[in-house]
Amino acid sequence: MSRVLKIGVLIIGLLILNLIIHRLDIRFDLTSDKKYSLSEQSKELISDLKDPIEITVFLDGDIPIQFKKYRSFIDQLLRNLRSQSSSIRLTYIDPSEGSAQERQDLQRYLRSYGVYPISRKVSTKDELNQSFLYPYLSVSDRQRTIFIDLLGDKKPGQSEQDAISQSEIGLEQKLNKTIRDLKINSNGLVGVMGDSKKLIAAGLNNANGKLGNYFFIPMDPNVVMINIDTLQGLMVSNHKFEIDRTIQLVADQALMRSIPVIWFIDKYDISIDSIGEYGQYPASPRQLVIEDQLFKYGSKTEPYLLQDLRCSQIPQVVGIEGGQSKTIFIDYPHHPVLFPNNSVHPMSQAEVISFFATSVSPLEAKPGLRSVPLLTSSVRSKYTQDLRILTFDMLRIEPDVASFSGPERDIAIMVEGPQESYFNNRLSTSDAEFLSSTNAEFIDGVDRAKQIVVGDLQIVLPKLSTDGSLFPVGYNSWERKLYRGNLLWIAESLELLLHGDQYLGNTKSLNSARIIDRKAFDDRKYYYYFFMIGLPILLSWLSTILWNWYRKKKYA
Amino acid sequence: MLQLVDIQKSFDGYNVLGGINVRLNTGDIVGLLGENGVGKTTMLKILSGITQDYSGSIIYQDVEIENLQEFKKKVGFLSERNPLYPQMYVKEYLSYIALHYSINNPKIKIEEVINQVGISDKSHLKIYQLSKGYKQRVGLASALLNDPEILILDEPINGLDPKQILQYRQLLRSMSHGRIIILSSHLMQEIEALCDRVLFISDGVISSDNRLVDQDLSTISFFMTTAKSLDIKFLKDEPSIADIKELSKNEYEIRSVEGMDSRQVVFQQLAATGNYILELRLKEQNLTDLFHSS
Amino acid sequence: MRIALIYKELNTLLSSWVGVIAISAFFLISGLFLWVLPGSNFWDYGYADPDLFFEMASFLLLFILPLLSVGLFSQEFKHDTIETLQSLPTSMFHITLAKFLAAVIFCMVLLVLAIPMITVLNDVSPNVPLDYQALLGSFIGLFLLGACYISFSLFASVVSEELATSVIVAIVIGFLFYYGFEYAAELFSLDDSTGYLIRSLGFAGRSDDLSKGVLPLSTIVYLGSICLLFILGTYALLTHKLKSI
Repeated sequence: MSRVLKIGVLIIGLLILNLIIHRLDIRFDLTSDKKYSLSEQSKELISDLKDPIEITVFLDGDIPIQFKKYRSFIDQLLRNLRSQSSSIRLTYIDPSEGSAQERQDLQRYLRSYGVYPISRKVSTKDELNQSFLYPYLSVSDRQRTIFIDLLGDKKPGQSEQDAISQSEIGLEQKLNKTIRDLKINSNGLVGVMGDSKKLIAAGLNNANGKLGNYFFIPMDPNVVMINIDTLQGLMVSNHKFEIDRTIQLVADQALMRSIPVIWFIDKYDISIDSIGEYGQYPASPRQLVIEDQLFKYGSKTEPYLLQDLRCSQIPQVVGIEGGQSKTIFIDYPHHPVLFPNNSVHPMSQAEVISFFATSVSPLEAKPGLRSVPLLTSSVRSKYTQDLRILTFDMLRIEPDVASFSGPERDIAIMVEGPQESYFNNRLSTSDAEFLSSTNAEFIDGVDRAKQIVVGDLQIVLPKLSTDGSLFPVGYNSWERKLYRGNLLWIAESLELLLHGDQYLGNTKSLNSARIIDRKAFDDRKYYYYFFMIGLPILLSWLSTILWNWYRKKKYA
Repeated sequence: MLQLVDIQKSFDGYNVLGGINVRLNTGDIVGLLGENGVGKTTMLKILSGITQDYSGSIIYQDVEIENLQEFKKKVGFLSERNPLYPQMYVKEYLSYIALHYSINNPKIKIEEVINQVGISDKSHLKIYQLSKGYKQRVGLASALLNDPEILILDEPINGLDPKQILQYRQLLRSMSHGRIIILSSHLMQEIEALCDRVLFISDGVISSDNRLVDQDLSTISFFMTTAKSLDIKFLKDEPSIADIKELSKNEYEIRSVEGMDSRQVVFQQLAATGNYILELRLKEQNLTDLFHSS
Repeated sequence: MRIALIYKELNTLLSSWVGVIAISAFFLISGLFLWVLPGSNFWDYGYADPDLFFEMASFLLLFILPLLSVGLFSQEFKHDTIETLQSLPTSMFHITLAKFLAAVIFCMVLLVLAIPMITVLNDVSPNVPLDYQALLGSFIGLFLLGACYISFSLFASVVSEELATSVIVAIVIGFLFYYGFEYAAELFSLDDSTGYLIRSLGFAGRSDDLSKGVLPLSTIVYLGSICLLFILGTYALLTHKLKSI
């Protein structure tokens, strides 16, 4: 064989080998938590796909360097997904491409989904330009398109870089969830019972996006009981001392039928308005009737009000200036800003606003029960144990920071496991009559029930504006600011209850971020410099000197 | 016995060696002569296994060479440019070379060749610290390391001073037993002094192959100046005279037939015709003449 | 193949000051960029994750390894010692391979010397321990990249006997593979799969995986193929060049 032929055969052979291996797509993910591999859940989900799913990346074109790495991560992830199923199609759209008309059309299309670009300044040699970026993916099937905000989890004050790396970790789950959302497709019905049920349902039904898959119906207990088989979940709200016993019974029986329940309770029925109106307000916790039932299911509500230095602000008039009242904004620790707890389940990290919240904790002595914190205060929080009268005095004096010593407190927990009916051995005649009137049987226990207990009803309760219209859930009228986290958290909590098994398996470690401690470095700065730069250099010089000495000794 | 059969080599279409056929015997010290660029070095490189892209065959000990690497183990080669690693110590270099051959006790062998080529007083130095002559010896030492059956030296006395040249000659003579030594040089007297046999190469072929010892004895040529001009034709018929040339008026160069001496005949002939010889000078036969006559 | 060949090359690398200077440059530059100069350091990055080091190193080695290894053949040509090698009873292919392996061993030593820098990362983020498994993956990945750079340098060292020319050739080839294909894929607005194909010929996208401790088999095979091709290319060019001497 001639040499040219040999080389040709070799190159073609290598090419074929490479193509085959590329097709096989075998990766050795040596990270101990398999961070960069598709989880089994994803693989299962994707390989089950029957209808084509189109994933569109809008982060394309001339993207800034900070996003390049993220883009390549997205590429890798999408490639991994595509290799699992031919139903996945990938499209890349550069929003800056095309004619002005085309660009405008695209922008309009994106705006209709609430997708806005982030702008960034790009300084070239002569001028400062502004470029627009769409850090979004969209996932579509034949009927619907859902957008994923790649930087949606950015915390206030967090650098873009951090947000990006944070987002990298959660992206696979977000994609999974979105694809699952598309797959589920059927609109789930969620019943809402209890105080302010109409407001709650209206607020949630107004929400698009993540909650768009569900329809929330305010229902009386008997309606719930009759339609119990058609419901996917149930919400129960309570802030009044008394609660309709049938609500308790229906919620109990829903749990016994493995229908997940979210409880929203308010132990303190306070609002700023009430303090403002009366100047002072007796803040006494009420022992709600419903607490006894929740206690039976394994969760305990604390009697104390939570105060947190991570909080929202309220306006205060501090004087008159030029005939106009002068207002400043002051931190108000009774309005804590909470964050979804990521310790067990991955949840989007967006701020959740709460008002006069109390914390919820699991009962330890319940065997077989598992509890998971879902919403948590900051470590700079405390209980107000001695305060009985709420006034605005606290705004005039600086809060005693030292007393806000934590620890983090859970405002919402999920409890799952075997449950015995609360009405076991205490089913009254009227209870039995109620059940029979709805053609329902009494069930006294269940192997696995899931519920979430939330220590603040206001988290889900939309505020009414003065004209009677409804503000979105999570809107803080004092700051005139919408906390997107409220709806997001509710959506994800609901998701967790309804599809938690898929959700649960997806336990990639989110807390393995190796945050660098500059102080630890600075303390031993010169030692480190020597150790990692000087030492290798020294060793290399030394080895050459020694080697040359050895040669000289041996040969000279 | 080493035999080259129809060795041909060309560079870029230009024929450097156009069919070399020669047989070299063990014990021979063979000199290679020729003008620059006639293919001496190319031939030596082929013999030493450096140049592999040639046609023809090399037969050693009646076997055609197929495993070049095995053959190389029997060859010692000193290149014309004598390439060495300047940063290495002399002994370091020699032990590096020794590692490539299966030498029983390399340390002793290295000492031996160092003594043999006479560099023991400089062997502790790095190569770049040596003079050209010493470098040449290091090169020779490395060529001797494997006790080569065939020693090939391309311009070996380059850069040596007269004293070193004499030592060099002695060394090579002492080693010729049981070996084939092939050397090329542009210095004819060097070849003359050292070689038993000389091969002239011109235009890529061996144009003449002479045993130097016989050559000196056999041919007697002389210059002659006569009183009167003589009839060349008349002398040409003499059986002992191979050739006669008229150099100028009354001046002649006469070459006898191999193994015969024509001087007496010439003298008698001239006397017979009344002519007489003013001067008769024996021509010293050397390689230069051979080189020119070939 | 003879150990003698590797030994001689290692000896050359170890006893010359070029090796030491290259190693010093590597640690000084990476130290500066990763810990001192703004823009690319760990403080800006915010995480004590070794992937920043590996990304930096995979780029830096593109310059450092040619410095170390372009002399492998060009010096032999320069000093005519290529003839010495030719006269030895060893094939040129083995010599090529030996030079490659010697430089690869040297590269390994360089990587081992970088271990202190990684351990410092453990000190400055003590709460979450380093993922040693991933670290091993990253080291293997960087090593594979290094081997490729060395194969480029080896090839370049045959191209010219001038060190400067060889260094430039090696770096240009390295750049072509590191960024060239990446840019080429972006330059032409090629459709999805073609763009992927061109990109996948480059190192930039791949080194990203490697620096995180993910070793796609396709990348391992690809880098191995590149090494093999360039070693064979070196050998072919070498024999071609030697023919005309």
